Amino acid sequence: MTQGSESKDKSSSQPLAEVGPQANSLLAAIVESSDDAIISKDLDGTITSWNSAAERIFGYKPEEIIGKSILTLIPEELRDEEKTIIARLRNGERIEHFETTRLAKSGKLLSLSLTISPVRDANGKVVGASKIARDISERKEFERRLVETEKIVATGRMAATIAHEINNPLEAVVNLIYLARLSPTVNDQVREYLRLAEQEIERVSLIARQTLGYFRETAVPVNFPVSVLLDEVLTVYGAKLAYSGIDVHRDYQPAQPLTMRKGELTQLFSNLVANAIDAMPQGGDLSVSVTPEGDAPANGVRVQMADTGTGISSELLEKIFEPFFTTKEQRGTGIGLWLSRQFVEDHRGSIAVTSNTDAEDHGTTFRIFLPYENGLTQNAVAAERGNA
Amino acid sequence: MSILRLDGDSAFPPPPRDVATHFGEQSAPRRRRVLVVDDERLITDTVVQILNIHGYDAFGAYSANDALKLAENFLPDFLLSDVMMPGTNGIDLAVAVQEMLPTVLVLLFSGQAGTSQLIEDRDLPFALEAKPIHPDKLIKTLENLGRRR
Repeated sequence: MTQGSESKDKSSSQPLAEVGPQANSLLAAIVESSDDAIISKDLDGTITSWNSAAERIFGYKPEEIIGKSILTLIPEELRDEEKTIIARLRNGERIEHFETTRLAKSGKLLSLSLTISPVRDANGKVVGASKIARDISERKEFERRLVETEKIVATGRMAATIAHEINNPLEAVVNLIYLARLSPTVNDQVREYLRLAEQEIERVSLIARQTLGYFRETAVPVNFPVSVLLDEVLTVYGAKLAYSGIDVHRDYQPAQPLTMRKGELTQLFSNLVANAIDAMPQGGDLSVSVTPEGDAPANGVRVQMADTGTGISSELLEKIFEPFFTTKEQRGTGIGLWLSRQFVEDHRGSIAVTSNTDAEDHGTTFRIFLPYENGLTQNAVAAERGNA
Repeated sequence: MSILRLDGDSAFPPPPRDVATHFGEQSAPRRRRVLVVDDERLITDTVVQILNIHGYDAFGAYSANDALKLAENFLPDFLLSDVMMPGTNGIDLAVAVQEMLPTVLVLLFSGQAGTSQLIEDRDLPFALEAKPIHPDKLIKTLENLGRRR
């Protein structure tokens, strides 16, 4: 797609040459201003054109890369892809939204979505390809973080379930071995075997206890602004919120950072946002505010999270912080809010909820107060934790 | 009602007298009664058996509801209960039994870590052990609990 092709060589600029030089330069301008990289190559894989988005995304100037092999952009372990791509192009096939990884000049790996179309000459013969590459690194990063957050939540649930499912049979086995040892018909050798079996069971119990205790953070507390933490959580749930038709309204007053166990508070706010999403299947508004309350150590930060969801009736509202209580029959474990309250209390804070189920005015509001002085220090050795 | 006394169960024949004395557990004039509750029947049954060997008068139930009905007539000195059970959980059961029998001593045992928080939160006078608890330790814990009275 070269600019000044005056139809001297029609085959190279097919089929654009037919529309005249003026239209050609318009198309060239469109290509130049595209946000997506637009690259053309011949069937040997030699790069023949390179727009400015390509320069921005890959870091090569046109003069550095035109005439070079397309393999320059492909990580070594993915070079076989090119053979497949060329083969499909030769058959006249188009490749759409192919998500893969390419290499920038800096050596950075890029997540890209590629659409590759064959370019034909006047006789319809495939002579090259145009390639549109969209940078999806950001989207991939969001996806990764969402998966990670969900993993943390799922791991906590799984650990609790597995602990229960392992410790109960162990209890039965310990008892059975004990009873077997007491049997008068058991001789000394068998009794010794049973004693060894008991010892091994003890090892299993120990491992189960050490690894499957409640998912509590042992990391050292950090000094961190609550508003930034909230934004991190909202970003992670951004796609879900948008998909559910929920508008987020943020009102953050400047506040001092807080010494916090970041993982616990992340889980706290994640639980609240996830609940808000569940409460608004038809969409709605989620208002999040941060308000400082004084500067003294006993003062702190107030966080409010209000949804316009279906609301919770007053008799259920009394119970929502109770363990094993859930309003979500199928999906709920009944430990989310209970755990959330514990995380708040671990930070010497408080959490309160109000809810309205009126047809006109409905929704649920959580108010959380987190004091600056919460007994956590950044250098604190968190060793005593984790054995809940 | 799903209550099973294991004394007659062929899978676990009662141990001869000398085994019990071998463990040095001299029976008190009135054997202390333990109500054992766990929805895992094998646990209930084996714990009942072990406690009976050690000179207690143990009775089992497989649910909180059965346990509550049973407690009225059995009048246990101890309630030994699992926490996570279908229906009423062990903590609520213990509260109900203690309301009915204020002197009952409660030992909860749970396969799920973190249960201690539940008890602390409500400031309840219950002892708690993590499963699996070795029978020797179970006996010792009950002894200590009984001494506190």
